[in-house]
Amino acid sequence: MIERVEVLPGEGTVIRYGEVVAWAAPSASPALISFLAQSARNLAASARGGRQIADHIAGVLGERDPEPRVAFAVVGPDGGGWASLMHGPVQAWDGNRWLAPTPVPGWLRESLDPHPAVTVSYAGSHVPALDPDGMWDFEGGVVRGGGFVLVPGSRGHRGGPAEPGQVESGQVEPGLLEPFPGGHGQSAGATVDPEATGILEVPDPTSVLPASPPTSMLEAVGSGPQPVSPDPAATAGEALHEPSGAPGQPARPPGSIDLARSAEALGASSEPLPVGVGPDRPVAGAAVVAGALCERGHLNRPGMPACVRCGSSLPQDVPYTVTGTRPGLGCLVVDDGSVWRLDCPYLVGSEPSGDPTVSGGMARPLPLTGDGVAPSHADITLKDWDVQVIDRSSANGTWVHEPGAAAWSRLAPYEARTLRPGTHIAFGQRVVTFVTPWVPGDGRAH
Amino acid sequence: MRSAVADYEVVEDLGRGRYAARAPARLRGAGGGAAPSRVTVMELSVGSDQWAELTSALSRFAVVDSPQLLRLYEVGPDMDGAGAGVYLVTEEITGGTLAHAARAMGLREKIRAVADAARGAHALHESGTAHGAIDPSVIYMVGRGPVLGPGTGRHGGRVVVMRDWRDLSLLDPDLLRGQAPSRSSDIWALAASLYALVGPAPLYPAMVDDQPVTAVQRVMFSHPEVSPSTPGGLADVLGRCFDADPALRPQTAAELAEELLACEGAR
Repeated sequence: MIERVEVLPGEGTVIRYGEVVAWAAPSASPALISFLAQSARNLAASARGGRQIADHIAGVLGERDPEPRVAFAVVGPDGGGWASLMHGPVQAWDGNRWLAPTPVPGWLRESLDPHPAVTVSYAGSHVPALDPDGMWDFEGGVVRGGGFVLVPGSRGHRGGPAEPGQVESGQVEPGLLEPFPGGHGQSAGATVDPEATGILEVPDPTSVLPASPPTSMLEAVGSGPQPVSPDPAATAGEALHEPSGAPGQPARPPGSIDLARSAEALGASSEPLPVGVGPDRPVAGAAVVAGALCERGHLNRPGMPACVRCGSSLPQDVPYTVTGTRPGLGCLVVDDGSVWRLDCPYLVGSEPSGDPTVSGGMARPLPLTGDGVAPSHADITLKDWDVQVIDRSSANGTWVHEPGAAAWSRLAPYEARTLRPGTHIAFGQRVVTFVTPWVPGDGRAH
Repeated sequence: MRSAVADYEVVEDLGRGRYAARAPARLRGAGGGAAPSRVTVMELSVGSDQWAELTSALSRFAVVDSPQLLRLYEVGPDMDGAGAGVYLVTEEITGGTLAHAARAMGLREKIRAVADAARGAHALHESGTAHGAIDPSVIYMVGRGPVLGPGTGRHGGRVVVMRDWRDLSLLDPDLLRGQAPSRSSDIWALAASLYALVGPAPLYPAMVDDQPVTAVQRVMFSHPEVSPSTPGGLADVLGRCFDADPALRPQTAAELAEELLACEGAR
């Protein structure tokens, strides 16, 4: 638990949500800052949020470093300790030792033991003495700053079960971690600490993980037709994939699942769905956004003239200080007639399930077959109230046709393009259309 | 007609990719009970990307013990089918579905069938699962009466696969707005299913020849109209199920079932 966070003067961006704190140098791209902010926000209540973000970034950096000269760092809880990932010319002082990435590979994933604090700042900058009065305390948000001082609470973190409202390491929902800017493909070169695969834990690791320590995120989570899922139902199903039947019984066909046994493996069911509440109920770990509440309590995007749910009028020209769980941001309508809801990120491609972004639970797959679609073609991400598409440097590119535009335009690789309502997006020969109710100003999609 | 699906000996083609089949000796009954002698085998068109999600959803469905839910026995890759699909083995479906019943059904039977499906949905909700794909084609007729079966094509964020605009008229617009399935969206779908069977006019009268994107926009931004001449005294209860505010709909599917059975058309 953090006692307080002090923002250091200087250039850059300091981010804090809950127990996760990050800093990025002024040269960091908006996409990188957005990633850090959204991931910190989504994992603010996680007992292992620091480790989850650090592992995710390390996995991506092992394959490709989209901003190799940019200094940034993230620090957050890892059960009873603290995890960090530092990148580029950044330094950390934890009271006992200096930590800084070596030139190659240019980043460092390390546990921290702050005594009495950890100071993160640009490499070579002066580390100020700890404020003896402890009067500076950055409680949360995104602000300008040249670094931060994180002072842990005296209780520290506790291992074991998460407290109510916390997200356990093995329960990361798709979308809690935003896709890392520029991340793509398999993280074949990344070395992942076997102990640091928290977001990918399964009930019986020996049945899934290879005998030797994994050398990549993909290897750690397993690949092929049975991606690791935190879903106990999926795990129960996978546990029953063995082709042989019970003793004395004929074998079942290969690959089949006995649903009666699968049901028994699941055991006691989970909590009932909530009664008497609408879609705006708080969801632990879900993204939180600022907005306006209608008279019935539905959270709306700022600038909407009326509630998209119930039609009641909304206050205009007022500060939007209300925050709540972000509602769905609309849907994607594919040219084959399928409709996909936008409540978490997607990876679009011909074989998206093989990508670590999907197998690691950070995005859902949106499979598209057809000419010109790359296996991992583009990311669809959610940023505050906006939906963005990011081409993964696919051979045929990602093209958009915005309402009123005369022609299609091709996205630059890894360019994050915010989608306007009604925008058509072409992935190879396949076309997807973005439809959303969140259209500030007139309340209607185009 | 196929002679077998996996090691299930097909005895009758029921149409729509379903077969009556003899159950092999290895099959166990629900809860470890006696094995059924006949089952229904369904061909499902499922991509390899959906396999884990499908089996997860079916396992979650199978764990719920309710007389108003279709019993599921086995799922596996269909190696010999026409496409790269999946077979699903369920208890024997004797009378088709509410969308394509084996015999004509009157208003009373239709209302009671949807009420039974609502009770099945309630059992799912109480176990923490939203169905998300309720329509008349997943309300099956088995020996003990109508039961709710699983949706098999809407996993991993897929809201619907449109064949025409009518598929959208069964959806709570909140799903198109990006919300996850919930009690209230299943209640909407149950009511829309019944209205599609007995209503005198479409829920969205203007939506006839729309293209997919136009149809999605129309459902997202318009409100359904329940005809006051809906038979059986159903207009009021169905109209409440379509309230824009989910908090003003019947709060549980069990509550909806009771309200449906209290209508004059159900007596």
